[in-house]
Amino acid sequence: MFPITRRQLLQSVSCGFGYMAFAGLAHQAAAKDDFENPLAPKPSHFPAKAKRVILLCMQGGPSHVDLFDYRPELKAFAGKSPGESSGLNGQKGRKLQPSPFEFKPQGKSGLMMSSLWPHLSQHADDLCMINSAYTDVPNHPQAIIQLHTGNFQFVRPSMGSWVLYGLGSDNQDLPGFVTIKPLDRLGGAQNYGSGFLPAVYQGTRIGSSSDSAKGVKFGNIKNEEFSEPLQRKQIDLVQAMNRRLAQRQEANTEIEGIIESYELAFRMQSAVPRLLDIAGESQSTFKKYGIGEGSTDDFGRQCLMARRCAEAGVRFIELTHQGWDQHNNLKSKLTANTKATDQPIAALLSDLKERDMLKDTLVIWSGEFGRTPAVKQDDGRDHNATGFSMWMAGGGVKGGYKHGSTDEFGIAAVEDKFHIHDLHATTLHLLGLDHTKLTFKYAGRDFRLTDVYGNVVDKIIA
Amino acid sequence: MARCFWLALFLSVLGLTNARAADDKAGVQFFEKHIRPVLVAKCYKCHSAETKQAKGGLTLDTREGTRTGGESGKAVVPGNIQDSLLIESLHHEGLEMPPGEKLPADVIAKFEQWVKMGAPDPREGKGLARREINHDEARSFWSLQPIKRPSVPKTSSKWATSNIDQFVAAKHAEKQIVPVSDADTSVLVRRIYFDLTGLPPSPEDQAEFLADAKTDKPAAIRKLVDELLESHHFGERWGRHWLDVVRFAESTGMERNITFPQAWKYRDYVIESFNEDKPFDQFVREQVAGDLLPANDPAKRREQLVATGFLVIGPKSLNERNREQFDLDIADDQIDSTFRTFMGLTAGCARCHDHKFDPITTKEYYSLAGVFLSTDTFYGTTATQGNRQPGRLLAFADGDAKPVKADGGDDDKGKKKKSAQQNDNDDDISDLKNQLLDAEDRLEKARKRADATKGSKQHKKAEQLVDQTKAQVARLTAQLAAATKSQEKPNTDEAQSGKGKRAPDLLMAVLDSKSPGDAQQRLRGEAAERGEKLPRNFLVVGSTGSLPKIEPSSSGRRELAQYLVQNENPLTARVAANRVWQHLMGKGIVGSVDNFGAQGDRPTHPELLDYLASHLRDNGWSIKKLIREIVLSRTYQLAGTSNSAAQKLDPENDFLWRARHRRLEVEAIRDAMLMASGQLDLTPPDNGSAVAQVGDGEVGRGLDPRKFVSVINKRSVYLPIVRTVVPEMLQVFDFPEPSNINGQREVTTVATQALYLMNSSFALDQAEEFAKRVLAVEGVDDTGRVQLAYQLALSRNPSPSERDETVKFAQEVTTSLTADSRSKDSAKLKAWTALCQALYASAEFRYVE
Repeated sequence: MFPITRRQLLQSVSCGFGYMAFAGLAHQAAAKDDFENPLAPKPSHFPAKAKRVILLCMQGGPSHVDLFDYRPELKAFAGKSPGESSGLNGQKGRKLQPSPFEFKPQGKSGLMMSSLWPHLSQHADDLCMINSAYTDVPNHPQAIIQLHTGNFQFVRPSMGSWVLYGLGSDNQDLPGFVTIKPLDRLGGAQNYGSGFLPAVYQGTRIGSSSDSAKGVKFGNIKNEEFSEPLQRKQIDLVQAMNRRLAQRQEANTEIEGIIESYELAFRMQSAVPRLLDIAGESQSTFKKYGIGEGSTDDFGRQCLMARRCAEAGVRFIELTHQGWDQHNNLKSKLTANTKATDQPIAALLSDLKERDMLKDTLVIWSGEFGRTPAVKQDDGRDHNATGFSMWMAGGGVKGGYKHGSTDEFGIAAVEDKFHIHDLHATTLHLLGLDHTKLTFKYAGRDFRLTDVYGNVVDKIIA
Repeated sequence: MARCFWLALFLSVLGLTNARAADDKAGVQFFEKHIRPVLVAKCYKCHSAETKQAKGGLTLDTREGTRTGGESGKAVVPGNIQDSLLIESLHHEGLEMPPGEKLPADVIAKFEQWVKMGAPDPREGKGLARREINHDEARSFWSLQPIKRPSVPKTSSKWATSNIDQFVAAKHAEKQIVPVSDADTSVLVRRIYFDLTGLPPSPEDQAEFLADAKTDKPAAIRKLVDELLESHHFGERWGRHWLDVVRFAESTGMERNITFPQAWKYRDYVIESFNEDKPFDQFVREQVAGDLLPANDPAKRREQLVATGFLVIGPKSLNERNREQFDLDIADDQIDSTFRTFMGLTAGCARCHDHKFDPITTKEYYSLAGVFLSTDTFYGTTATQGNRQPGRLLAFADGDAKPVKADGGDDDKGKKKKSAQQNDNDDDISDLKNQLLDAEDRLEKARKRADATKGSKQHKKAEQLVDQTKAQVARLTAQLAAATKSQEKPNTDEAQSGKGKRAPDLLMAVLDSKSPGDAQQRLRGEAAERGEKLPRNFLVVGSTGSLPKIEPSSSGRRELAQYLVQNENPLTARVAANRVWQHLMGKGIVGSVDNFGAQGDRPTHPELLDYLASHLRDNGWSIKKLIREIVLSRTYQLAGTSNSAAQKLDPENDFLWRARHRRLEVEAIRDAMLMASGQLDLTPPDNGSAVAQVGDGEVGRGLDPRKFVSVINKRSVYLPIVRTVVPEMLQVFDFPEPSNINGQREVTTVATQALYLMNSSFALDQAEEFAKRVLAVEGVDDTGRVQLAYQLALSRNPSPSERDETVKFAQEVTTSLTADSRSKDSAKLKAWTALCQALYASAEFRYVE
């Protein structure tokens, strides 16, 4: 590499030196840097199977027994109370309600999926279906925070922040943790916050849940007053001042970081809008994702942006789809939700596969909990934390694989129970991180994403 | 042999002992056949003395380890299935072992049979010794030893000009480090202004000081320091430091983020306390037990009640169903905050198990919990749906405080519970409200656009958009009306009770509960797992003498206050003095300012720390006097330059041979921007806080988070601090998470900060005001203007080359913009806006040397 340090470089670069040349040199000299970029790529603890994560957060509590957990016993015992026969708690006065949707084996693996997934079912052999997920509390706010941070009692860093802290970012022109249209309630920013980790690891929000995906923006990415050449000239003035200061204040190593932050910001101004601007994608891609076609348009755009983020090297990408809380109108609302997301998600998986990226992209689909198979109402289900389904794909998990099981009626996970902490431990493991070693010292002790819990679930790893 | 056998049989038949059963051959066979293989296969991985794996402190590969158990209790009590935690965990009741895998019922049955048999177990060897906390031994730890005023080292140093310097010089001599020279006067004045008030000096202030300093520099510095300590801005600066530590915020945060519209009163109390240099011991007492302290007049009574807001403003999980759990969580927040804030001890760690590193037992934790569980916490919050734990506030009038509902209405209970369906409906309503707000915003924008494009080609399109958006607003309005109609009608009495009356003075505060009492220990921190009742008391190591006795009819907070500030407390004065030092020197003598326990850092200058702590105590706990002592030391006044010899010996500058370059806190950066632009309104707000204006409600449901993005040109300490929706600039520049105790801010440097300063409307607006201000000065040329801009932004004159470069920038940009068919004036304003913004954006602007 270059036999020069960043400091020498900065000091040798005078005003007028082309910035592109500077940026290029700066990149090359970065290896010998005494300024530590907290977002620089870091080695994993052991070889990783996944390089990045796309979390598809389905807020509301998707009904597992109508989507992914095939429970024919519900039909056989329809209208009966589950309590007496199974001894399960908390189901008093409720009657078992069969799913109004048909389940069929899909793909070579024969993974059971309901008829609501005509597109996703084509990818059945890539899905690692976890039918034995469970969480601690059947309330949206706590459960959604637990899904993201592992802990709803205290403000803790989110999974994406931990991942970014552990691995850094592969693309220094873009944020390393992006969340598109995140929730603005139910914990809001806590779900992508960095807690006690340094703020650089917090998720970068693009739009919010009330925005439409069309036209979502990244804050402060464009100067509304100055043309680009003028702004460049202005930044050159700033950098000239900064470089002189770096010379004057030899002891202040942070100035180098500031100089770099301006060059990065300037590059981001073109890189980020390019990333979010899907106009250059082909008509067939739009069609594939269902963009411009009514109900699939919004999530289609999100999925396409997720693919673009993944391609660009963003480490952790989260998409949110709300409205899976079917206490009533289960049949129509669940149909609408799957209609809006099925095709876009399938398109995302197939695009990743086409680009040979599915193998090192871990896609996770999950809600905060599931819904009750036994109900009091006719066309709805209530919250159920004791058993639900989530799936993963790519990133080193087994495809066409069913992990764990709920009881005969789908009420509680009984076999190979898979807690949210296990999801976190296993996700980190797939990324090459040991969840017991990825720690941060705060308030006198070493904290982890999984606190003192969590097990890596080897059975689902390919 | 035979006698032994008969004796054993006799005893076990009587049930007097099972000890002999352990030797029973059949029992051992049973163990070898049914128990050991399972233990080996399923348990040893995490619980083995041999491999030193002892999760939860438990080892299961020896009899001793199995019987002694781990942190949760005894794993096996021979003959007693009920008390054997191992059996409970195998059933996945409470603990779940093995994790994620319940063993088959017949295996569990064998374990039960084995325990009933007396748990015969031939495995010899020691379990891993469980650490027993020994308070007396623990006292040898540096921070738990009594604070003694050390004698000032007598060095031959000519350099030292104060007692503090003598301590520092002694270290210099020991490490053979030579300090750099003193800071330039102009550097020093900026440093002192920012450190004491959080504001830069105005050019006039600076000129005055520099003139004074020419005749007698030390006298000029003393005069400046005394003046600034008396300024109202001192409290705004130092009060904010305190607000970081005490997790100040104006909403509950967590899963239901409900506003605290009265929290600003505590904020103002803190600012006032620093301004009047309230003795720090008094400041501590008021925050922990202000409600129990005597007060001569209603104003003092009110002040002391507001002070207890410290115990109230923490984050709250209002969606918690279980009241007991909720109360325990509040007590936990109060214990954790009290001990980390005042004593730098992480007492909260002992909630579920004995502290792993510090001498704090779980029993001590629950002795403290009794104190706080005997306290009523008045935190308010409206009873929105999702708020399962609405609290009350105190209405203060004529020296008397009365519990009332959060809206000030009479305190009555009897809310109707809502069904899941109604909750769903509420969800819909809040979604609709948000959508409607968005649509209304879009409509306004569309209208503006339509106006702006009048007469042009785009006008028609813009008008179409207005019509479409209008239709959308109408649709959403109708939907919202329908949804609201089906919702439960609000209680009209309630809605009207506030009318016609003067708004009551509502306070967040605490009072002793009606029936104070001791708390039961909770095993593993589980609310339902009650252990023994523990008499209210304080942490043993927090006093080098005896502990105050708690009056049985009171909570014990008054005694807690005494305990925190009495001479026998080895920590409070050290922790406070260390924080003051950190804010002035950039790093604490103990680097981990909030943790003085075993996991914290060790002091770099232990004697100096004790000198400062005793200085604080011996001078009537005056924070201002301590600050004065430090700022007037030569150590504080060092330059920030480097020195290669010293750099090699002590690259981290732990031994204080130069000043640290410090990134300003975001409040100071923002205030300095407003100051340079001439837009800073230095008066405190007369309406408390934007949160008080918005009032009660849940953020994101009914309360639009955007409402808190108020544009106020007041000092940043008065910005609304709503958990999870902290103002953007604060978030971008490392404002600490306001749910956590945090006495030490992070300093990160990232591109989002650069983007904020380059592109945010705040930066652009202030730069334009700054430019207007500079351009408005008459009778000076561009060179003079650049000089003024430098003065306003950086408190110094530009060097000739800087000056020329900057003037050239302004002129070139003006020329090129004028060529782009702009009027000369607007081109000039834009060019100077770019110039002023560049000064804001410079690294120098956000650093003090």
